[in-house]
Amino acid sequence: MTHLWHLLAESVHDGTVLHTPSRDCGPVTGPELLDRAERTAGALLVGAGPDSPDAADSGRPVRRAGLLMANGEPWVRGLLALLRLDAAAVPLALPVAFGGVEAYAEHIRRISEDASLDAILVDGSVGHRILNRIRLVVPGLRIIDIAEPPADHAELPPTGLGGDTPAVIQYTSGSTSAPKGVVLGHAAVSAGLDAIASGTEWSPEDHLGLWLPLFHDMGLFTLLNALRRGSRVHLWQPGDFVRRPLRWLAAFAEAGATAAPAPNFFYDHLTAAAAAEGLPDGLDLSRWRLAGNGSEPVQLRSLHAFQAAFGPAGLRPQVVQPQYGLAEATLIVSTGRPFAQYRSIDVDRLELTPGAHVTPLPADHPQARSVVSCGTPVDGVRVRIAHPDRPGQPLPAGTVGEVQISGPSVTSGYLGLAPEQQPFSPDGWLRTGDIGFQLDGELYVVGRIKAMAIVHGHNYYAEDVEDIVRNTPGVDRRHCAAFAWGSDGDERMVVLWETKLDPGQAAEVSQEIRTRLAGRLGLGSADVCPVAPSSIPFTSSGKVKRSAAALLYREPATTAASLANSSKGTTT
Amino acid sequence: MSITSSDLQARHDVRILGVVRTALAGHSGVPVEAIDPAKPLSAVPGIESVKALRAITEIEDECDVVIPDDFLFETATVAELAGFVADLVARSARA
Repeated sequence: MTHLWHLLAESVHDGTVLHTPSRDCGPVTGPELLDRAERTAGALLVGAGPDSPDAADSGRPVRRAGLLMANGEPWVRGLLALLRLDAAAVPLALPVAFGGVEAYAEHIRRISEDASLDAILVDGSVGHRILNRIRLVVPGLRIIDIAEPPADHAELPPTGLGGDTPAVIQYTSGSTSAPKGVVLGHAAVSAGLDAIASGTEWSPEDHLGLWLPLFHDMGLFTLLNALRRGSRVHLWQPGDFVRRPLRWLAAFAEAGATAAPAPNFFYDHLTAAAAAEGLPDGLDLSRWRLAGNGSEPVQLRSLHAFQAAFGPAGLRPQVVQPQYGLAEATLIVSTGRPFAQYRSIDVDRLELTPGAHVTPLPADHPQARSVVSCGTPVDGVRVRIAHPDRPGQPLPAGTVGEVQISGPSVTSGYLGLAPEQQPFSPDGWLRTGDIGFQLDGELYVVGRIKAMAIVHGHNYYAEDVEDIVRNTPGVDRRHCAAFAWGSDGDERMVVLWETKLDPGQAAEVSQEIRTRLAGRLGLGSADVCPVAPSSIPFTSSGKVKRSAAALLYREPATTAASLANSSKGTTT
Repeated sequence: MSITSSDLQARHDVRILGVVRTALAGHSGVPVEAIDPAKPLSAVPGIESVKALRAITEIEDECDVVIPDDFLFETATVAELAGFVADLVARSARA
């Protein structure tokens, strides 16, 4: 059976080098990394050590452990040590700047309970204050410092069977109130890594340059794929890129990296930085071969603007390729092939309802919506479209519906949920919750089910509504949120938009928004509410947090005054 | 530090509070007056992690200090951040 420890041990060699330029740790070769991981596994086996406050627990085997560290060698080594011991690794998101420590510790407590964690591995990169708070709210949890592996090897038990044994339990972001852990066994992860390699046409000479956090599925599995192919890796911190994007890009190019995955906002952020500061002297991007663009909706204009900004630095055309993936599929589902032309289609946005046939329209038509192709399904992953209300019955090509996937890289389900709560169709396909269609074998994703309101039998997407609202004059800094409200039979679209205007003027703008929604989307009834500037919550990448915005709406009086006084520090 | 505070020190602290408020306002897209020194950083209107990091980077560049990541997770107020930066500046001046 497939066991990731053995697969990785077979794959790495002296040319497999992990560089962590922003950490106090020199490059480590693959074989060294495995040796260090074995020594670390020995330490996890014997317990926390006599000097630790957790010493009373020593000897208790680690079965499921959280990884709570900044990107670095200890994170990767901790994961490998857990694999060596047949324990499941649970990547934990780091706290966000200005987020506050109490809410964060509470989040860790929820995951710790849901996953029945028996330890958290740390390396000093997360401050004592946070760890002390976690100790307080999760008293039984061992916190094990693995900053340095022990000098000696302990005797380790033989590895287990692998196969369907959980290797990684991935908590998807945005699920703070009710965290859901995606269970991925050794065999699923192995298949997922093969899917990444095949979709990206990965060669062992490729060199991964990664700043994404390892607790994120895109960061984690891209890194594991590189190790699985014996490739070289440069691993940075998210802050390295976010703080000084062009300096990071120069370091990426200097390192000779050939591949980097990122969400759409990465490309926009670099394009904006280049416009503001100019290209760094001597920047040479000619070795960059593949830049995946996934994990949030892909914008065609971002792809073109990025090429225009960095072409002069040697960036080859179509290095950036749209991708679709999710933790439930280990990672990748579909991707544009390296250097493939972008495909996008302008369709009638009123015909993007499940069951409808997509209708091409001229790009300048007021009802036209441009949708970028996320490429073809990768080897080993099957994709189909089905109506969300009849999930067992696939729909023909060109029909809109829920994206469903199946294959060896797909999760066995969410940890601890009853069968009826699991996201599977009656015939065993994973329901992604994303709405899209297939055309000429390519996958187009148009939105999320939850971001869709059914009003009088018609489906309306929050993305479409927001697009219209943010372009209405009077909407402060284009900030708005749309979401579905209510349930079967009594569902409506709610729009929050930010303004500094007085109530009379704001009412006029609200009326204009209603007129536009009716005229362009056919959405005749929407609850349009002006709110105070900066009250709508956004994620770190600038995506509106619709569920958090919906919580604001639930407040008794959704007025500018009440929202102005509400808390706004709820980033996750 | 309060024991040795002189007019000069006070002026220095006021300048740093100005840098901190300007950076936070600029990156969260609100006027400087909206940044209340007495309120926690998490209550800065519209702040989220990417904007917070960029604001911190600007403060570091302006004041020529490095703010440790640990401080970013403090439930500190705007004024406390400014005080922390002022301490860093004073320490690097002595070094």
